Amino acid sequence: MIPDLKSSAADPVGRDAGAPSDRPSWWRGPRTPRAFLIVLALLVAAWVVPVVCLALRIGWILPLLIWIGTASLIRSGRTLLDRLVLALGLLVGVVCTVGLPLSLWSGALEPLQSTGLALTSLVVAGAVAGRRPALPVRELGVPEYGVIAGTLVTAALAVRPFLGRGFGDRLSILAIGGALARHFTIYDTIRTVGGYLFLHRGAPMPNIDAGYDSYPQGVHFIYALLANLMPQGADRANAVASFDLMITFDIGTYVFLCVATLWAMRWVAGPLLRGWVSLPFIGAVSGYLFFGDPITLLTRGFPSEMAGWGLLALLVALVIRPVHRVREQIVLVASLLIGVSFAYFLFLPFAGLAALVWLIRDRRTLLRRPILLGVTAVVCLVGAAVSPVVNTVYSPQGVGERLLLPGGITKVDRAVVVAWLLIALAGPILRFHKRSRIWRTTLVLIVVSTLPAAGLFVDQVLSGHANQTYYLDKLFHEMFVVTVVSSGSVILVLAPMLAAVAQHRIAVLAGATALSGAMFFAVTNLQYDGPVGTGRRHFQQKNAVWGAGQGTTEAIRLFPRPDGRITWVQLNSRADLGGRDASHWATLYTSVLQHNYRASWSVFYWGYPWLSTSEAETAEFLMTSPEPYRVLVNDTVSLEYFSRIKSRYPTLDLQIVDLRGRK
Amino acid sequence: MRASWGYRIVAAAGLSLLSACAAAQVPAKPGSPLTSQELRDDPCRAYTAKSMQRVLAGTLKRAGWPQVTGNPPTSRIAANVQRCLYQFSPKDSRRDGDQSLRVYIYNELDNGAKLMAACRTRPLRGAPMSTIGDESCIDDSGELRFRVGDSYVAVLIDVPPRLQSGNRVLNASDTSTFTAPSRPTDLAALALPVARDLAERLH
Repeated sequence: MIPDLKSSAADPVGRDAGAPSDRPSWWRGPRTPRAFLIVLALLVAAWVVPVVCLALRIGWILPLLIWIGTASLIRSGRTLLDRLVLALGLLVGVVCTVGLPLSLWSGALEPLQSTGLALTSLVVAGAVAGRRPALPVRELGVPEYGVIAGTLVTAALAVRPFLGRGFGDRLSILAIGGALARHFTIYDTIRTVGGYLFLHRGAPMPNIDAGYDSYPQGVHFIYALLANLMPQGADRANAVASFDLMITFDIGTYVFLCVATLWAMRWVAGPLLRGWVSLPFIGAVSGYLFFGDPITLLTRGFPSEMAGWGLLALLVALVIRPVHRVREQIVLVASLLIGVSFAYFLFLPFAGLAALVWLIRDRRTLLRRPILLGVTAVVCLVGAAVSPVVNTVYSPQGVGERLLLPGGITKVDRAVVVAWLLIALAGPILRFHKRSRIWRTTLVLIVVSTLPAAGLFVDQVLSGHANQTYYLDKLFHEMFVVTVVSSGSVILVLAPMLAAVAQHRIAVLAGATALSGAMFFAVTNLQYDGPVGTGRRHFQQKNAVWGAGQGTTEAIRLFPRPDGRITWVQLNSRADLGGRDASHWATLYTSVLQHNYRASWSVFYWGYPWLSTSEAETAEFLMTSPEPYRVLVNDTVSLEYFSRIKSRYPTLDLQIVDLRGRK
Repeated sequence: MRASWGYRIVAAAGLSLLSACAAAQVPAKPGSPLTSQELRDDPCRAYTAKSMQRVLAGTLKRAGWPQVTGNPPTSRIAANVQRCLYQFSPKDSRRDGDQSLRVYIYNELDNGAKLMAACRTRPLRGAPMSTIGDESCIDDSGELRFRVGDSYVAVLIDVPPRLQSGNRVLNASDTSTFTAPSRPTDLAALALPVARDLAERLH
């Protein structure tokens, strides 16, 4: 047991009960020599524990320790789940911010330095705030168990296809798009250069394409810190191990999205979702998280957006229903804003507006803490501005130009947009006349989050491009965060029925189940011919492009490092036909694993798999390339295709690697 | 009633925005000047389907083609080469069959020297032409290459086999009123006006 840092007379949350002391009145830290000694011992332990864990190759325990340690110092939230979720949100923002100075300190991302510093910071924060570690372990009710069960079930469904598979097959499951490859280049290069890429622009980055050094890097930075702690991540030159770890972290980020969304929904609904009535609704939202749009963020390889979604869900929850401790609320909101900015700043304008709504609504309470509010606001504004400013300054394209880009994304079903809006709006509109701050704030946030998506949608419909714009669907996702988090309010619709049948629990439960069942079917896409990336297809592994993972592992086994030639992996699909997904993605993933993306990007942009490519086109491409190519083939048609090109252009420096007959 | 300065400024800004949008959407016209940077920004900027059709109209008519209609061009981009593809098919396909015509414009940027050298090793025999741009060549497949300054461009006309249901090659008995000539010299003759127009504009 860890004794109180100040005196034995302190209350359970660590407040001094008036023990005599010669310290100034504002001092909340240790007051007795014994307390000082304990703090000193903890500071020593903050470095000894990482040394021991890393020596035993169990470094993965350290982030868990830091997370639980942070939760133990938070006093907001009634249950252990509340504390853990809030701590996670807080940590993301803090780590992203601290990452700025750490990026300039050589070696700060090394496992010992980073974890030692984090644990030291926790000890110092606890000592200065006069808080001893405390967790409300016994305070869990049915809804909390529901949130945990919902998270576990969605996590199990998402993880199931990856279990018992090697790297190639794990990659195949996610190789339905190229975004993950580019995220890998950022995360892997952060591990190499030791910090945010925009602070190391002078360093050689052969795996980073123009503009990607200014992409929001919060998630990649956290992944890099975690990877450095894992035994598999010890050899940073081992790109396959590094990528495999990223796949695991990606699944973890999806689980974070699920727990954050479910917790936020539960938090916003508050007393509406209590007892067994909460379970059908938590079940419906869990079903949406797996069978609806959120799973596509995992399968399409969007880790930044997954983290942004989770953080935004927490922010929306805290804006609608703040925690009771004002200081913690201020710090949490600031940290979440910084986290959103570093993770996925497309959501930042809405997040900023949501925070503004809270500032205006709670101004009287907040102005009682002017110094904390002012200092935190300055830190928050600076921290949240870093990613957008860096991106605007360094990116080769303008923000408006990028907003209209097409791209590979699972299109949001417009009927689902309407369904979520109706579900989320029903309760707050019905209760508008009651002047509830909670539901009026909810209404404002729903409207504010819908406007950008609706505006861009109308613009795109008028210009005839409504199905092409990538970021339109991302803005729909932003709207989903708010509507899903607010969806517990739908139970307000049941209020008259609940009042009438309150004595009959079965009737109430049946009504709640029917309503949540309708909700589930309205917002998920269970039919088989739904867009690629839905949970059902993921669970049954119908999304996977198996040839892509196999081709990548074969290519990287033969040519693990860049050697002056670009590797074109024409395995498992014919060169002359469309539908070359396997070879297209294998070429992309091989290039990033070879740390050669910058020189290679042309080959997969030129060879979009859905287009057939004539020999003349391929010859044009190869003959104009300043870099020599090697092509890996395992079918006769492709072999003859490239051989004909080579014989027609004798000056072409092309190495054809014939892998026919090899398994 | 006099409009206030605020309204005037807003109206002026709106009009400027409208004219900027309108200017940005002006379709490329044959004969209008084109910089290599503009072509690099968008390989399909040189022609719309309609303006390409106008360039080709005379040659197609002389070659006996029926009236054609085109889809919007599609581009393919890499760091070393860019391609714009125009596809045309007969306006009345029931009468004139489904014979299509493809026009490929390759913007090889400054990477086309090897292809030009390869072309010189196997030029198209009997292709009468004067030099286009600073240097030009037609290879034995009928692909026409030229250089203007440091920029290399190639124009290739392709007449794919007539297909039914997307993949079955039609028999001779299935032909309707028109089957396109597909010899390299015929294809080069079709590519010539496009290459000439483009080279003049890039100068």
